[in-house]
Amino acid sequence: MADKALSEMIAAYAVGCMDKQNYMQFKDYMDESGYLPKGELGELQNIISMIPVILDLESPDPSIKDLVAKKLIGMKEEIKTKIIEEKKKTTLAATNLSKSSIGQTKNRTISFIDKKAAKKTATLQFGDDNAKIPAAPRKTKTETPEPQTPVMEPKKIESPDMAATPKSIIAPPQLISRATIEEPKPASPEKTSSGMMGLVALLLSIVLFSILSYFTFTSVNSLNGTVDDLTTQVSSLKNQIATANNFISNYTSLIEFFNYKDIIVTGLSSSDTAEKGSAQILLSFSQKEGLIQFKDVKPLQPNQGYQVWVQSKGQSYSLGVYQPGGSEYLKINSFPFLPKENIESYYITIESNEGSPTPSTVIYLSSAAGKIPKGRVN
Amino acid sequence: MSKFKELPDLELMREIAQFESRALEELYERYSSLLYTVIKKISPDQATAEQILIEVFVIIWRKIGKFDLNNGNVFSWLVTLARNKAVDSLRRERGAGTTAQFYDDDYEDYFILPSFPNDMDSLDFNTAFTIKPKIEQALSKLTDTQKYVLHLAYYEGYAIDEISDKLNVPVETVRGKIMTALSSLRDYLVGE
Repeated sequence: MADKALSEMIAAYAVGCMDKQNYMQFKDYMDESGYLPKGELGELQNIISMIPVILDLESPDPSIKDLVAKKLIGMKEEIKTKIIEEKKKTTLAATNLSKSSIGQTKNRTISFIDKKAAKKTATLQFGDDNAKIPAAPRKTKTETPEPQTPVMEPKKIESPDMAATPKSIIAPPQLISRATIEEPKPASPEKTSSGMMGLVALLLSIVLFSILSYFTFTSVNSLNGTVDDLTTQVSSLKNQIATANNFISNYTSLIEFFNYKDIIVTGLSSSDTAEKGSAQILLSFSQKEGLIQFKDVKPLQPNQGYQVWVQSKGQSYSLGVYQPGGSEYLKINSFPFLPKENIESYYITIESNEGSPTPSTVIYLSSAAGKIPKGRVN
Repeated sequence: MSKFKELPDLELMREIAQFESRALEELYERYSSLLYTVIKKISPDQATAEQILIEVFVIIWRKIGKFDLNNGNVFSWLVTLARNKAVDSLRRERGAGTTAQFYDDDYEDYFILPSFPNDMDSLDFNTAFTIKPKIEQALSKLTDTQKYVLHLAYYEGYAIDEISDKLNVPVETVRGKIMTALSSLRDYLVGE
């Protein structure tokens, strides 16, 4: 009965058809390491996620990809802040972890909260006592003793006797009577006692000093370990921030460019289907500004560059020569002062890195005729 | 050819975790059709489906830290994420005006991001599609009622008590049908 109830809950969770209350209860149960049959939930979740495989796949409109990219680019500040916050949390958690005790597994039972049944009667629940699920062995909550603080120890050890000892050993001379000098007597028990007390005090001082030294040594070692851990975490954080900054700087020009409202996007590709290289031109005619992005293009000789051309009324005009390092967005340094209605096509040739007055080599990439403008991005 | 094209799903997710945008682009190329198909099956119209697909990839980018980059199951994580997001949107639309419509980061982490056990087997895109015929056979062995209950739960986003109301059968019957349907699928796919 109990196994069946748990299996029903696992199945409902895997399909994703629990109501909010039961979902929260089951998730908390899992988070607190409640008993689950080994591998069952994972298997069912895998099976459920494979159900859509039988559907006839449909591709989204190509413009959706650009919209995803645009949305992500707009999130640069959020990502940067998030990285910093998460690293702070990680550092804090690591610090807290070193202070806290080892995690505890709670003994939990779980059953469906049956809304309908609960309306009828409070006692008639799906998960009654007989249906309770065998719970994971409960770990008793272990009280972690407070770490002893060695600096507090001397107060406990120090006794009134010890405080009195020096007075007994170094007695003021005026207290020694003449009679005591003339007629020596056997050493009194009081003097013997004060000598012993002095020795005991000395031994106690040595022991106390040793304890203090030991605790100081272990504390310093422990602190050194913590400092090393923190140093590692800080350097890891710095690396991640550097990666994020690198990403942001690559896309800064694109982010600024997308503030313009009339952006025309044109894709360029090769007529050779085996060639994987492509490029994308983004122009804002109102701002007379543009960007170009190359993707997977052929490597160039050091003295070569990709020269971008625009064709209008049969004439070719250069939009500049570019030597892309990767797929970053490059600013178009020579904007075409042509009415956009007259632009017939864009194409790219490989020229010397100083550029050529007219195209002198075969066309490497071009926009297909009649596809301008290809898309419009707001 | 992009170096990311050759990477297995899990490696791709690790690159995304380093904010490598071209890795996300490759993930989009690999999974967008499947995720879009799932979302469109759930969503009321194409425009909504497209918007949800965009949001799903934004979630992947923002919440990649929540994915288990050591042993995570990329295929199931992505499909479940897309399904959860689409169903959440559908439920909100269905319950518009009757329930509180909040949505924030905590809500997303708790209700939208998939939560998998650590002992889950990994699954990738190619493996899932390799066994497509077997999945079709397994589904064909379910009774019509089991298929319909699964459809209502998975694609229509109805909770158990809602299915119970809709079909006018006890809640216990719905729970039982779902469990039996999944057990049959598992026995056929895993048990053989």
